[in-house]
Amino acid sequence: MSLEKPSIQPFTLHIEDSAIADLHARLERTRWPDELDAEPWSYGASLDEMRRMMDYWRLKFDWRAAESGINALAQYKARIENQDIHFIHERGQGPKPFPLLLCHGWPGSFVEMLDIIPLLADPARHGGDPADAFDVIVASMPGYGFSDRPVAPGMTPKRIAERFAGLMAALGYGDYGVQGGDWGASVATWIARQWPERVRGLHLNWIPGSYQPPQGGKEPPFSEAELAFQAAMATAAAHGVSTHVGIHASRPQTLGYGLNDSPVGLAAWLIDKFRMIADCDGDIESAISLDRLFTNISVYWFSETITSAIRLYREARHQPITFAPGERLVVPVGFAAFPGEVAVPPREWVSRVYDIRRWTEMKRGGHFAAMEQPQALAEDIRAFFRPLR
Amino acid sequence: MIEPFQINIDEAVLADLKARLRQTRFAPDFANTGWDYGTNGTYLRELVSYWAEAYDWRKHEAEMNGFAHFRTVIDDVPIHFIHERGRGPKPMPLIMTHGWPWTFWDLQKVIRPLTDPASFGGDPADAFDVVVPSLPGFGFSTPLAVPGVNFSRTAELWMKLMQQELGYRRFAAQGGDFGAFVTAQLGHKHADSVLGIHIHLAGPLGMITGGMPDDSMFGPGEEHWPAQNALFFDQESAYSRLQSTKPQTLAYGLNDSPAGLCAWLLEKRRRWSDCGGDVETRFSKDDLLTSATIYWVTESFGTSARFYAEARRNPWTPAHDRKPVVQAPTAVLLFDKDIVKLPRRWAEGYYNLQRWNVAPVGGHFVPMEEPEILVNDLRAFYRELR
Repeated sequence: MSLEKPSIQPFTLHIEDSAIADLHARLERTRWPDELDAEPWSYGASLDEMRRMMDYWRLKFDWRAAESGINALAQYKARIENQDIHFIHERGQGPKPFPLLLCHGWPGSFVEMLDIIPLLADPARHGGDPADAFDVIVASMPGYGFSDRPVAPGMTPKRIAERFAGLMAALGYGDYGVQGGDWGASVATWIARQWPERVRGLHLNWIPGSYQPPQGGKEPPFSEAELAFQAAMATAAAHGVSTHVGIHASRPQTLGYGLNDSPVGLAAWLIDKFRMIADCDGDIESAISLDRLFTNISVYWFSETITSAIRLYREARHQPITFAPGERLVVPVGFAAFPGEVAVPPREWVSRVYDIRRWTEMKRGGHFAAMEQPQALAEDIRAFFRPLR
Repeated sequence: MIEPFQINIDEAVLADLKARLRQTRFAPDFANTGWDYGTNGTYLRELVSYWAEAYDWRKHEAEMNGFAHFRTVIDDVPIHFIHERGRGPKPMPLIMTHGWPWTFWDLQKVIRPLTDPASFGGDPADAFDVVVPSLPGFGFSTPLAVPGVNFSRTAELWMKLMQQELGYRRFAAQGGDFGAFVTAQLGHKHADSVLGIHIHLAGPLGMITGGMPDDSMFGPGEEHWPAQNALFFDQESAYSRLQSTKPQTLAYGLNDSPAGLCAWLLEKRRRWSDCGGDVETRFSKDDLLTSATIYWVTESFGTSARFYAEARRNPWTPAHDRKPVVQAPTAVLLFDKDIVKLPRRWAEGYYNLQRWNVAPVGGHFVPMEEPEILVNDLRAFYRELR
């Protein structure tokens, strides 16, 4: 038994009035760039759309209401390695709730999970079976939301995985499930890889971008579908879908100054990304409500975490998720393939390492599964863990 | 129609700038003394504090107005330029084109030595009539409301400016960075009108969309260049991919936050110059901030970044298939600490290469970093072509 059991304190989110007033003052004095009368969004975020959405943030969005919504969930901070991890911990309502850690990504935050938490913690109230209830833990990655920002380099997804595993242990969970998309899929994969004996199942809605299946040895050559997938990813990259990755992974701090000082700069950076990879045909609100979008953007603004968040790309660059020939993840894996993703990996690509037990072709939804399709994602998570819990 | 122009920024714009600077919400920085994650927070704070409290725009504005400025509109594109007449028996017209993230003011140190060599220890026979335009969408060549203005179209604008508006039938051209592409395009398409071109970035005109020459071309003294080039493309070129695809997304923040704009420009000034990590060995705080202030008060960051997108969307197309591609007599002056350098053997096949020099010191911002080397090389090259 470790003597260094982390201290865990309840947490209530409260942004000072002065910070809200400062945000509004900045929104009032926004100095808009000009724009060509070209196709909207063709050079980046559309000016008309940004003006409309920023009007929403300035005039209609109610931070205090969003804050109360967040505070309706049980939140805590755990002190791990001298840094606070912010997390939501909602106890399941059912005969035998199973613990499940949800891992968010970028440009999301814990806010991604607000809609799916009740579906997983209290299925009976949402048309489900109480036997499927989970104890839901949503932890903010270091440098995201209300977790402390790292103070030293090297906070990679692998180290985040270590902190999250430490958190789960501190909460008394000896074994549990893990779920994630985007960076959360990387963190979840690292947890499963390092502590397979604790992870009963791994559910993913994204395969980490740095994942490379092993090659050589007795590994079979890539199939046509796998080669097509790699080509599709390369084409998407060439068309700017992953342009943000280049700057995040090389000079994130340079970008961060403008985004931390200008709410419209921050909003444009995040909204452009949401719109590009959500399943929305260019209309972001058809996939994610403005209220949720600006709750997420406001969390970045008030916590001043945009720079620490994007620095993760640079930290992660030198620690891709690669495997030696013959190496496999031994944890059972469920994968929800959302059609709106940039490209959906073929099953054989994923199966080279991940032990796929469930593979679901989802009907709709894109990169932000928990925000876009909480019900469908929740049902897939329940079904995957049913035989494993 | 050409009109004289004086720079006179509204007091309200300057007051708003100071107010914004004083309210900067600095992004926290850590473990970044080597600027590996990007612009260092401690230095940025120092610079922004100087900008807000001590920097005097009016002083630099007066210096700028010591030159003769003009504005005109060509093909719906507003063009600002300095036009200084030479003092000598037969000044040669010379158009000098800056790059990104430069402004026209990067040429400030070389204009007078070129127009008036006698006052700077030179020979009046070497005098030039100097034209320094702001690139479309940069500085006072704003607002740019026309799409598709890439470096090739800029070369056409320069032709009209020099021939139709200023009456120079044949002229010399000089440039670095994007300005080198504009200049090389003049030497490619308009070799009959160009006396010669002088560039300090020598790449293929299709480099932005078509790639680089083979590594095997690098010769003696150039052995370390492929590695330097690779380092640039690996570590320093993400800004270029971003500005080539989504300049507008970035512009929201940088047009609204002067500290954010300053950080973006400053990183390039430090990384690309031969400063050994101390940017002030090459640029004073005033140099850095005058450049940033020009971007800020003209609200030109977005359109300047868009120049990359226009280059990418409107790939260079050859005007003829003659060899060498650039037929105008060409001088290449490279600097060993510049970010991207192509081999002489390759340049000999692509340009009508008459002169090739490599300076052991100096980086990317040649006219600010090494004005004397540039001036001397320009005089020597064009002396043969007068």
